[in-house]
Amino acid sequence: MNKWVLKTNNLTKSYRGVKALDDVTITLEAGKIYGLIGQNGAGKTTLMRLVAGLSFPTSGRIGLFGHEGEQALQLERKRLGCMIEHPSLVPNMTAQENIRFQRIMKGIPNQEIERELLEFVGLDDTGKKKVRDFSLGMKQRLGIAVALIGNPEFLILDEPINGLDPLGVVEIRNLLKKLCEERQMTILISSHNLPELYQTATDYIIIHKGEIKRSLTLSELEQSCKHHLLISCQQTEKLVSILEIKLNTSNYKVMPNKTVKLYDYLDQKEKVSEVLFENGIIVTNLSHEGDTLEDYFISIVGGGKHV
Amino acid sequence: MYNLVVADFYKLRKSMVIKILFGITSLSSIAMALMAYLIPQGKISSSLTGIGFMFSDINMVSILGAVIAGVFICGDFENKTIHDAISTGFNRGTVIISKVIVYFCSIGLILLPYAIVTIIALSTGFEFSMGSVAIGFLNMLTADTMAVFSTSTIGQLLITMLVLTIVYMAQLSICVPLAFILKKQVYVVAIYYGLSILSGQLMLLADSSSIFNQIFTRTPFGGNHAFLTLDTVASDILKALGVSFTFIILIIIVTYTLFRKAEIK
Repeated sequence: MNKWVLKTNNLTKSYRGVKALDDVTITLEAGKIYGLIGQNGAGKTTLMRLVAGLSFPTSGRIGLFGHEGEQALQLERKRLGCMIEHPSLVPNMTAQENIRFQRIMKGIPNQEIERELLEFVGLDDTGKKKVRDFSLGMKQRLGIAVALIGNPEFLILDEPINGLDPLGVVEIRNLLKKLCEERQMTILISSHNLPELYQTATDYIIIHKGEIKRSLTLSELEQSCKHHLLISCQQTEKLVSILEIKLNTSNYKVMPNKTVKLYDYLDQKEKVSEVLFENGIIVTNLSHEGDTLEDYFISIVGGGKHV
Repeated sequence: MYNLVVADFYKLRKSMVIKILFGITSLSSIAMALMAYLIPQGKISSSLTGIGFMFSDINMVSILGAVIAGVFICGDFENKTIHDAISTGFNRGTVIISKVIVYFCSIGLILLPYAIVTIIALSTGFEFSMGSVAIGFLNMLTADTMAVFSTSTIGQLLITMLVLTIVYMAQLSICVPLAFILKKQVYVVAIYYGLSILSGQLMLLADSSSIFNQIFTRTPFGGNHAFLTLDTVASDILKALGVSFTFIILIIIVTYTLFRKAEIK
């Protein structure tokens, strides 16, 4: 099995001269849930559409499961499950008929998966109700079930929790985690609901105005978001020893730029300042830092706009 | 491709639209035959041939054939089943051909009542006439009226009807690129109906211009391709068949060329 499932290299997509994606280079590894974070129009859906073959890049390359080139990609797409923008559903058919239609299309003989998938997404009791009479949340669930037909290795879900009630959100979250853990499925999921993504994804890709601003793991994100006192001074080594000897803490981290993140004494900034001053440290910065995921996202994309 | 075709047939089977369209053509075919029977008997005025033409196969298929293309191709863009087919690895050419197969089968289905009614009507030995407005199955009904039936005649009738159906399929194949590119049912129906009316006018132009006639005859809209009867010689039937298949292949190539790199919204 390839270590990476999706790799894009300088992927660019322009619409009439306007870049929807600009030099996007990402690598998605197997068995992880990637949260794609970005504002409306950031390029999330464009990226997903390119991967799914619904659109073609202006320049750059896409690789799936270790293969590149149009024909190879087409073949590898048989290992994908997608729900991009809206679920692919026939409105005049029932939930089971929709699953059956897609099952036949994908050439899967096993009829049992129809009921299994409906149970999986909690739609096994919809009977003869036509999809056109479904609520938005029910359609989303069915869309996810459709995307799961054929046991895809790579699942692409664009805003899958839109319209779901809180219980539905939890169920879908648990379902995605289960798929990732039990089947080693790779999932690329976009959402405006950042707290929800924070609970679901293992890795994050922040996209803004078509550019990838940051790719980071959950632990890196937690590290970035963790509240701390940020201390800057000229004598980092001395500062560290004072923290350990005078303040009795080793819960700090020296950053590459020689600043120090102190995770203790968060509510005792004055005490820290006093101890450092008494020990001859000239502090150039002592500030309380740390973000929520929303704050962190805003700090990355550089604005306070709606996510 | 087999899976796509079978899946589309499954969808077709579940569709109320195709059942309604089949019902409409069933009733229309009976109405057409009744009027063609009553007009020569003088029970209804011959001035009503215009209304009789409205029930005829050429008129019905021009509207309903385009409706089918709208429902089954444009509809698939709306409900994103084409998106799903492509994102799960189906070649765009395969998607087009599978849609064409199912589309043509649907056309065959809605034309079936006309074929059955024509056979039944001709087998009665009664006189049928709709005057000069007769084309397609209605033309067969009018031209072959009171024909003596034998086993070979029935065979010839079935072959002629099959070829006529293929001519209709070729004419309606224009709806395929329209549906794949415009993706809006209303445009497909309106444009195709406009084209079918235009083709009637072009037929008049072909009568006055031999050069245009030469070109027009090479399309399923021209020549006598839609005027096949039991008296049509084998060479003309083969010509109609050849022109239709060539036209269908060309239309598929055009569709593929247009759709191959198209953005699927």
